[in-house]
Amino acid sequence: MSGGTDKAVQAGREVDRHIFTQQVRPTITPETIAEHRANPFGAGHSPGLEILLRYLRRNPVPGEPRYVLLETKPYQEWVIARHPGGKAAPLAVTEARFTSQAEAQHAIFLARLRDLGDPEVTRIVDAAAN
Amino acid sequence: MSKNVVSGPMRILGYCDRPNVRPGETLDFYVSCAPELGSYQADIVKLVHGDLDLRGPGFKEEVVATAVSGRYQGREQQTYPGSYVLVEDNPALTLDGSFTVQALIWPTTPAKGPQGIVTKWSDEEQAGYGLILDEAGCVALQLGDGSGRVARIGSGEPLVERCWYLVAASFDAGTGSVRVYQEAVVGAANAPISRHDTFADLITMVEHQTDVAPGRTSAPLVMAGWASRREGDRTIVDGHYNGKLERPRLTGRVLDRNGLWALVDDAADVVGAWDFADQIGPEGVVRFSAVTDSSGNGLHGATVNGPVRAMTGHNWTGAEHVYTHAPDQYGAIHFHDDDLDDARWDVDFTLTVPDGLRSGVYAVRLRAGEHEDYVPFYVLPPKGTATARIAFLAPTNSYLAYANDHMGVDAELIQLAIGRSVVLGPQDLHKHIHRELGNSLYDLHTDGSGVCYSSWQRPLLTVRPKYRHAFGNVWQFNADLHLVDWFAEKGFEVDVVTDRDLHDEGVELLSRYQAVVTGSHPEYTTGPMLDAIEAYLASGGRFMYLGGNGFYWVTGYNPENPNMIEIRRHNGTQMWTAEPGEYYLGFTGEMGGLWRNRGRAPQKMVGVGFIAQGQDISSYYRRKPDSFAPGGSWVFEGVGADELIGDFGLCGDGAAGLELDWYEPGLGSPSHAYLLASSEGHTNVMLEVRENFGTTMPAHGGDEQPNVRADLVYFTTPHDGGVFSTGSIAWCGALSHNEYDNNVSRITENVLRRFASDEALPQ
Repeated sequence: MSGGTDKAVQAGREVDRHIFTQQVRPTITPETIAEHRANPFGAGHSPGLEILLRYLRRNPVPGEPRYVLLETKPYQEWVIARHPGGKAAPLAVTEARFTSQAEAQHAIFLARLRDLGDPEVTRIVDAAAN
Repeated sequence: MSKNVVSGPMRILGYCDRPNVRPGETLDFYVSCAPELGSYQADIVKLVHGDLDLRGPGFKEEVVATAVSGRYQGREQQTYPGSYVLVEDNPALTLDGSFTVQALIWPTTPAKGPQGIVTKWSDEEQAGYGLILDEAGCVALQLGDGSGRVARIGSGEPLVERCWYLVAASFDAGTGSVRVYQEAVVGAANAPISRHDTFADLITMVEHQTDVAPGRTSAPLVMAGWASRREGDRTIVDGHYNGKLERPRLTGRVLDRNGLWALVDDAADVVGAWDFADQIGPEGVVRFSAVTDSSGNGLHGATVNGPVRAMTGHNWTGAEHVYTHAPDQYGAIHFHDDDLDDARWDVDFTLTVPDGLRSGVYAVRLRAGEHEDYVPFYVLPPKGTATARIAFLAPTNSYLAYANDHMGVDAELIQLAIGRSVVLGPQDLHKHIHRELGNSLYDLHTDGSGVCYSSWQRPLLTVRPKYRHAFGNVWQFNADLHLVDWFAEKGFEVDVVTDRDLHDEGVELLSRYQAVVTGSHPEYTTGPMLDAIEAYLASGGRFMYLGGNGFYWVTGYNPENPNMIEIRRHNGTQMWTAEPGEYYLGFTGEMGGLWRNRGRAPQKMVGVGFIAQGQDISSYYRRKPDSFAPGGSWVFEGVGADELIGDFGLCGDGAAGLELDWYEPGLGSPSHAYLLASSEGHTNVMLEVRENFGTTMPAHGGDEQPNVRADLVYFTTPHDGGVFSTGSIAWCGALSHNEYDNNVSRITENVLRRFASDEALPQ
């Protein structure tokens, strides 16, 4: 790996900040969150929700782990785990058990929004979650 | 609150050494069972349906009584990954006087910790000598006298990753002087490194005195590691090196720079000289595991665990891409600390397949308390015979390609491609932690290079009934049980043959059958397999391709191991990309990549070929005018004109999904084919494949791009042959919907009954 990698990564993060501010931040609304809760997978998403999902799914926050689901009972029960990255890295399993995969996927969506670390976004998420 | 998952959950695992066996033949089984479980029960079962989805028919198996069924004492068996070259001990390798050891190397993880390059070293005895990378990522000479004294003398200049170096170490027995040497060799094309970078052409040489002389050891000479200990008659190797190694030499004298370079091209007056390109012949690497010594001392060796051969060397100029044309520039072997070609367990029991056992999909079911594993295998019909009118061609190469894939945990952006977070089951967790079970062709090695070999001789946790892929759907082996179950429900008698059988027996195998049916995703095809299917179709054969993204990657078999395959990914839709100059298969010498890029697009053979992939949700097909034409309407007998086809199913709730194929005359879809139905309603996760467009352009998603669709196609071939293709991996997942009474099942049954009959096909 060349010593230039850090500079390249930093340049990318600054561009991503611009993308977030201009394109993504305006999509984070109570309406978008409600839309995801009703339909976490698939067709028919509004353009705003699509922009937001694609942003969150590319792990935009440096240092935050990825989210995965562990199936604790086949096709019946799931828990969320955080994957720090790396081969064979231990997964940190959270306690809440979900009996609907859609609900679990939505819980990950909310967690990713909180991971953005923006107080205003967190306030919107908390209000929507309640 | 959280807790760590520290180990994989599977306590019993097994494998067999090949997928295909005939009545009267034997098949060895290898089992590892956690000691606390004591004994385990082994039973042979016929597998019928393996998808546990609550909306489907559920798990179905039938126990078959055999001589091996019974209880066995469990034992834990170890797997040792990591590739290396081993040269057995030889008096010539014991160097009592002065010596130099040298090699060209392209290290890919110089900072990972100590790694052996060329060593005759015993960890147990702490004796011998070795040219190594030290803990600082520098070239070093390690000497041990066997009485506890060890010297490690490093260059002090860390190596740069993926840069070629000439590295060497000399020991002067008269003076106790050690010289360690490294020289960066940055060519125009040999690395992703600029000639203008500050370290290009840097030469480092250090000289130190030591009073430690190399002690004698009976350990073998190891390249890309060192001997850790003996287990029975096996040498266990540690200190695995990641990267390329080329032209190692051992000489009985101290060499200067000119002396080192002189031996690179002309290895005269040496103790040992190994040129890996010696095995390159006109049709590939002749003996894949052979390493030959040109010194005259007979220090020949063998590779273990399948390091990658036919790799560009330090002198690759970028002008020649066919290694068989310029073997001299392909003298490198790339070693990885996670290579595994065979788990090398001891046999636990051997099944003799009973005469008369019906051809089908079987498994050994291993159970110990609540712990369970299945080891699938295929029973073929007796050699030279067919015992049914229909053959199911099990795409075992494709199962191997995906075997033990870690995409769900390793591919950081995978949730973009599947439109959700991954869903991990017990097998996924186990193979995430237990990396020693080896990789799939979708994975990267620990050094970031793509995995291009996969073998059957290890536990294949994705090739299991009950397994659902981390992407959220059953896939490959378990998905194909949807079809096996449907055959049984509909009363079709079917023989099973595998990719390997087709490769070996050619069209003669297929010509015994009135109809041949594929699995859901037969993606990895050898040239002889394609030739056989085409010859079958040209001579009246009838072929049902019930899947998507089939006949895509050029695949080769290891001439030394019939159950180990190779690919080289480039210029396709792919999880990794081969390095420049490394597009040709080591096993066969042919160009790897897509069959499409070799003029054999799947459209020419089966009417459709890969157009899009997206693993979020599936969709349905809508009938097209050809489905009402006299030659096409028979397929839809019993299906309404306005019915949506397959707006249901266990794979993403639709019959059109996961990976799609389209009818494209520009790539060779026959003009007389009936385009019966096309899918619609796909999302922007379902994206057009990258080989399909030249320049960058927006609108590649299924929500905007009309090319993104599955096409249902039927056409006739000479002598009353025919092809029916569904163009979607998800098709077979819809067969069982509504107790098997649905339009996907009806269409499939209409075609198979006609294809398997003696009745002429509609033109």
